[in-house]
Amino acid sequence: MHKFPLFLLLTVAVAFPISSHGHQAAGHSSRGHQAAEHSTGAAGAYAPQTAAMWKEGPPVAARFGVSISRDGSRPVAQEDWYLLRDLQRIERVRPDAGLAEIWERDDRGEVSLKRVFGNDSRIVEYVPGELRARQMDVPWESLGSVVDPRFFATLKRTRTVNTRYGRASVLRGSIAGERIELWWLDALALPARVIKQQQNVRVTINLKTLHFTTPENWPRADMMEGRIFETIDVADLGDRHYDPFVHKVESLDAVLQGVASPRR
Amino acid sequence: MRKWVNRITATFLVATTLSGLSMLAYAETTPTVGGPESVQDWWRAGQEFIRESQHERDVRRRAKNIILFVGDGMGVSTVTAARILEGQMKNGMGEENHLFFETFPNVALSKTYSWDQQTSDSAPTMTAMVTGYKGREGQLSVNHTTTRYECNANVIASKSLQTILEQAAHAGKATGIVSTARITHATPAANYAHTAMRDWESDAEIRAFEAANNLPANSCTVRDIARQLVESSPAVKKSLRVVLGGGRSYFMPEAIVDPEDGGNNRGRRKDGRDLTKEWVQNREQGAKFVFDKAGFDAAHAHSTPYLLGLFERSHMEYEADRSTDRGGEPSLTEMTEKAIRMVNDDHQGFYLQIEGGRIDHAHHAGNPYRALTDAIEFSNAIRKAYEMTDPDETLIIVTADHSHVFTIAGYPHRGNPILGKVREVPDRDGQPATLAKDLVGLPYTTLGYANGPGYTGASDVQPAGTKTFPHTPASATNMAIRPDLTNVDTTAQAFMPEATVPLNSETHAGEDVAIYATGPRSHLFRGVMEQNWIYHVMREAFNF
Repeated sequence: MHKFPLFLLLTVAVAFPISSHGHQAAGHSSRGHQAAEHSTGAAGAYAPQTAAMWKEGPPVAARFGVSISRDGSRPVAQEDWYLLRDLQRIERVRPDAGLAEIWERDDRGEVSLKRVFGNDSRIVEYVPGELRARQMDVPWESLGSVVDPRFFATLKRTRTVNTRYGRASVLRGSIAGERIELWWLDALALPARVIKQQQNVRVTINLKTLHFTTPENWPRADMMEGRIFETIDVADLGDRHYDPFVHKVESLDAVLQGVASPRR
Repeated sequence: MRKWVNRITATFLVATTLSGLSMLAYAETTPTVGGPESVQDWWRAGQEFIRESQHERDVRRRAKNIILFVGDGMGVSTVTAARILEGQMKNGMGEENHLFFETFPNVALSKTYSWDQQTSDSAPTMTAMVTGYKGREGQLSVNHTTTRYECNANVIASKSLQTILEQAAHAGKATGIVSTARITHATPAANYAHTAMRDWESDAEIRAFEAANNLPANSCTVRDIARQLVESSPAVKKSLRVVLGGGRSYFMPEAIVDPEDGGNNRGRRKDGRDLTKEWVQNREQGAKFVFDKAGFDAAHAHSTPYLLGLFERSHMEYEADRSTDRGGEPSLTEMTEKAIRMVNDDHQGFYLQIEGGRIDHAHHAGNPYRALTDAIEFSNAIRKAYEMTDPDETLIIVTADHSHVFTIAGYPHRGNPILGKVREVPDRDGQPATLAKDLVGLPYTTLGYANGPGYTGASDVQPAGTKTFPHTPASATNMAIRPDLTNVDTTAQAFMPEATVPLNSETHAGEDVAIYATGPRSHLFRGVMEQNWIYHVMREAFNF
């Protein structure tokens, strides 16, 4: 039996992975986004065409609203989270959960990660070698687009729509038993909307606010500045078996698998 | 002892070209797999071993120098697999290969349990090796009556156990510590630090402990481990000539941007102290702090009386990743060579402790490739140390602090890739070697873990199958069948073998580890020993 709160905590944290098997019963599909729809004539386009849509986007500061509902009822969980995308640094901040990630890419393309656990006053660091050793070397593009690249390899483009952020391609399909609809802003390499439906559980992610420079009052990964944090090298987790915090960290690692593996 | 090994290896190499003929002499069909040796080669090797062994002599004099090599997590299965991998990397079958330290004449087994753990972590095991007493989980060089999380400096002082490094320093010997892990990590730290909590490597961890436990700020008076290294006793300060490893951020204040990684990467110290500067200032002229390969190479032993090299903010790179490091890092072999050059001219002798610190980390991550390549580099460092020292003066000890739940399974044929899937000796000579299959017809790898992130059962996060990352779901179920590895490249650097029990992190193991020794008093390593007896042999060898 799937643990629903855990699903919310973990799967929206990183790139909306597709692995959400275990949901129960059937639900219904989504309609009603305020946008004009246009047929593209591209309905039925297959993976090779949509895969090319996956790319690095320009620097943005985006706020997403994430909600989860069951059986079409009112959302049982809602949360805002923030993506701050720069050329060499990507922050994902979930203020309500007290979680943040800082991905940095150096001039050689080496990627490192810091996870901020605000409620635990801990930061876990992953240097490039540790990410490689754990097969967590996630493609930079997927970090910045927040969408699992497998979406593009699997979904079909059906039409385009105009949104207040620009024209979006609508991709639809089914992955591992989940029905997925993705509204993809090609120019920004960002989703305007993602709907994931499996049986009776529906996850909706909407782009709520978009800026090209980060507003000063937005939450940042270093929002806990001034507080005392303990920084832990992920390599040390194996020697900290006594620490319940370790379990939380490694559960989040699991979510990265779906994103890292397509590269192999 | 090394002579017979070299002769055997040479014999086998010669035999490679002849083996086909010798096999054909008594076999109707040429075996599909097998070693290059003839039956005579095996016999001659055994006889050579006896002849050489009869000429072995115990070096009964006292040791002028001691080098204690610790492969963190390097259990016997790791040694065996690393031996095979090294041999296969040299285009051999692998099994006949010897890691350098396996040629040492004296071998014993070490019981690694601690005072309170059946299977131990690195803190009490290293405490046992360098103080002569078994200790408690997570504690460094304090006695077993120490309360967990005791942070009163006076109490810690009263519970502290003198280490072999401190004794060597008081005896006027030069000393040094080298590790590929942070120099404040449990194994190297047990040499010089005394604390109830191995994680208190900088003051940031102590302050975080106070905050998490609602203790007044700065109420914990115990010094963090980095401070203990820099503020050592006058004898240790004078003696400790070389310290090489990782962990730079534990010595630097949070106001300072890291000299190698730059950006937002800063020191972690809350007290504003730059201990790397203090290290240099508090030692005689010519003392140096270096943080990259260029600085390391420029620090010549003859003109550098004291050297602190911290090459990463945290642990140094795995050997497999070392070439990608931004600032460049010396290898463990290069650090070993430098350390010996720095202490070798001391007429009173020296004590060095050198750790291959990342074998353990790679195993925890379920990554045998990195664990084994680090073990091979560890062996290379030991070879360098042996070549640079006089075996009649220098006791070299090689051991591990604990093992891992790492296994070599099935009946793979001779020369089967150690990182690969099991292919057995064919049922009939002449037939091709095919993949061995389990009860449901699926292939399996030679290397595996009894627990850890490689568990392949279905969970609430992923379906059944191989996992390629630390996989810690909220729930997991038994799988109907194993994953099909037929088309999986199990020799890939990041392949994660299957694990039987799902755990966040693969664990240490409780079986004995080996001790390999050569040099003065090395014959005292014999039989099955308590781990703390290693200290007692060193003490005896040094005549302390």
